[in-house]
Amino acid sequence: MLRYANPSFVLRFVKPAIPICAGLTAILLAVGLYLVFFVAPADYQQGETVRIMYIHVPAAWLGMFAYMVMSSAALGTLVWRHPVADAAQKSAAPLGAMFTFVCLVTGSLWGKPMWGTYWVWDARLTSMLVLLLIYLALIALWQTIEEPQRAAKAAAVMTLVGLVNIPIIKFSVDWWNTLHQPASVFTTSGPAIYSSMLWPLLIMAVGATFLFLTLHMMSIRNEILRRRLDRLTHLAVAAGEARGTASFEPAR
Amino acid sequence: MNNPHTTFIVASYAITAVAVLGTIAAIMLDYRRLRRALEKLGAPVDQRADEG
Repeated sequence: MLRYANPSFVLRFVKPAIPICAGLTAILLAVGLYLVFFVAPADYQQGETVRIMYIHVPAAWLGMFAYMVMSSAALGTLVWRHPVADAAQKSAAPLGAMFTFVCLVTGSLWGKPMWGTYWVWDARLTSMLVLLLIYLALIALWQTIEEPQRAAKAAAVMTLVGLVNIPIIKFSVDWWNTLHQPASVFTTSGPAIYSSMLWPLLIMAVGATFLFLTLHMMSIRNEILRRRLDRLTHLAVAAGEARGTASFEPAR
Repeated sequence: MNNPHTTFIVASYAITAVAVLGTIAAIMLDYRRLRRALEKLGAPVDQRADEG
């Protein structure tokens, strides 16, 4: 597997994979949005407001999924010191932050009409906010440390430390008495959502997952190109300096 | 959708669209910038890394 995880192979792989994933994303999200607005019924308690669920829940899943991807890549960085693993980890952070931000904002806009408040320091909401802060801290870490290998190692360690927050987010609604509702899709007794609402939700979630995969591949490609550009720039500068030094040597 | 909470629903979808489209635009602009910079150095994007 490591044989395939080299930058040239990744660039060759993502070239056809990006348009395929982008096409699937467009189709799934178009079908999903049609079902959300024209097929799925209003909720008997929440009314039309339940339509926020179709973006809020996939955004929450993707916020956590991106972190799992980053944690796997962090292991690749620490165990194999693989540059593609580092690129994958670094590229997933802004995407995870974006999905977590969307989750928090849409949750807040859903909370105001349903709970009467935009925000409450509830265990689920707070742990999700902590996830956003971890993402922002990791992005800042990569910006702060100039040496890429040191930055990769520090970010990988911090990512794995922050992994403890993922089960806290998942089980916060079971461990503590929260205003946020408990899990209603992935439960031991099966989904607690009626199928006419469950299918649009699952299609939107798969569409959002393909959106993440597409954007992640595009970001990894950018990261590989950025490193290639840095290397070539350093070589060009070094060559220029060598020529400059030679010109100051006394003529023989 | 004649409902007192329409503003919240529309705002949720609008903010999501702005966040997603903004991210896509940022990634595509970054790619275009990197591609141009590499071409200036004589290393096109399609070239293999070991050749560049």
